[in-house]
Amino acid sequence: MERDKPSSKVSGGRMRTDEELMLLFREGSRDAFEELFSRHHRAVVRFAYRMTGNAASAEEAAQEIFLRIARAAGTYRPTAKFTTWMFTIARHATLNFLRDTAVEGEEIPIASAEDPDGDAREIRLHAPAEGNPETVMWGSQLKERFLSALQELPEGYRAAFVLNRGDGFSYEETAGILGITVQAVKTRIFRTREMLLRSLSEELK
Amino acid sequence: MDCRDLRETISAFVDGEATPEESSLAAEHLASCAGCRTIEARMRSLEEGLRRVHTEPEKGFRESLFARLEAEGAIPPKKKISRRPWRPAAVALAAAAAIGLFFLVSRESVRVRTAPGPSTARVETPPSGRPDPKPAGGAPPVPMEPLLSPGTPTAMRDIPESAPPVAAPSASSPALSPDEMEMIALLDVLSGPVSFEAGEDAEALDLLDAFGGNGGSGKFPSGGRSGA
Repeated sequence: MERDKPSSKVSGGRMRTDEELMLLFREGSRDAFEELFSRHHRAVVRFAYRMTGNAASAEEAAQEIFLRIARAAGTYRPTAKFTTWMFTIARHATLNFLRDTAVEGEEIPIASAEDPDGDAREIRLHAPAEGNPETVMWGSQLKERFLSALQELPEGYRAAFVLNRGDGFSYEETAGILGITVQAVKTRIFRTREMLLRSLSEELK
Repeated sequence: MDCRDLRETISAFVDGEATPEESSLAAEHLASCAGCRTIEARMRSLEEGLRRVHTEPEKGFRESLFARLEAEGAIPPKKKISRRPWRPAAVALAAAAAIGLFFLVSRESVRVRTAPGPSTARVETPPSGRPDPKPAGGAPPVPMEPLLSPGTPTAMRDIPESAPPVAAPSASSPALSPDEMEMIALLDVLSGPVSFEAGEDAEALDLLDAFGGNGGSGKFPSGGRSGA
């Protein structure tokens, strides 16, 4: 039976935490889930967009993410941050989505925990002789190129970079979400930067 | 140290994830290496590019998601607004009517109980030739009969409508038994301002009919007072 509508705040004006809302939802409160959705759906859609490279796919993947969150509510334990738990689900959902939508025969390169370098090619960065990269203007065309370059990365590298640089998770939190070591996260992010700078070398001149 | 060996440390330094020792090392190297400073700047510029890669959910995203969630039973259904907004008002009105009816019946019952015989007799002699309000098939006013003398009509209802009103016997009339005298005294009391109005009487008897309190006809609603 549905409980009384939980306000997003508790008495005294303090906002309910995500973890409290998730526990309320687990006990049957639809309003708690709606509040969680309101707080996080933009971040989830944005993450899915960066991972899939397509707005329509991002929405489809985001729906799958929230479906999984709702289904997994019974197993939720507030031992970790809700957002860490949510993005773990989000990463798995987008990975499955990419696999399901991949053209037959196409592989989704994913670096494993044992081999953090995975399929990433080693790229040597060379310092440009001229130009001022600090004043690079990110126009809409460059944004499209950036999105395209992101999709060329192995999924595990892209996920590490997006989670850390895009969603603000620390190396440790990113490592927890991806199930890899902190050192592997550090390496993946560095390699991702190398690959992106190489892909965008023309645009960044 | 070779620049290449330091790039990963510089990357962590950009992210604010380098240890204090690594941070010192990176800062020292960057201060003396223009090439690595350029790389560091480009690393930072990538973040700006990532920030620009975003999209907003389409209109209807929420609705379609929640429809799926509900269809799967993954979330509790939304509380529905009643399609019969008049229902609470109707219930309240019915309750008020029931309470009002109860008090009305209670009051009339008390009055009837206070003077059972004369009240019944009065109702059965409607003034100005009104139709007899007696319900069809109603029981005769039994309590009256033992009080009347043999010369008095046994039942007032037997008096035809066209007949002139019967003169009420007075206490001074000759040949009255003590019981008859008492009956007349009671009738005098009821003819005063305390007595029922004819219409009120009819309503009260209607109510009594409805609850089976008048002669045991017991039908609800009676509707039987308009004819006969």
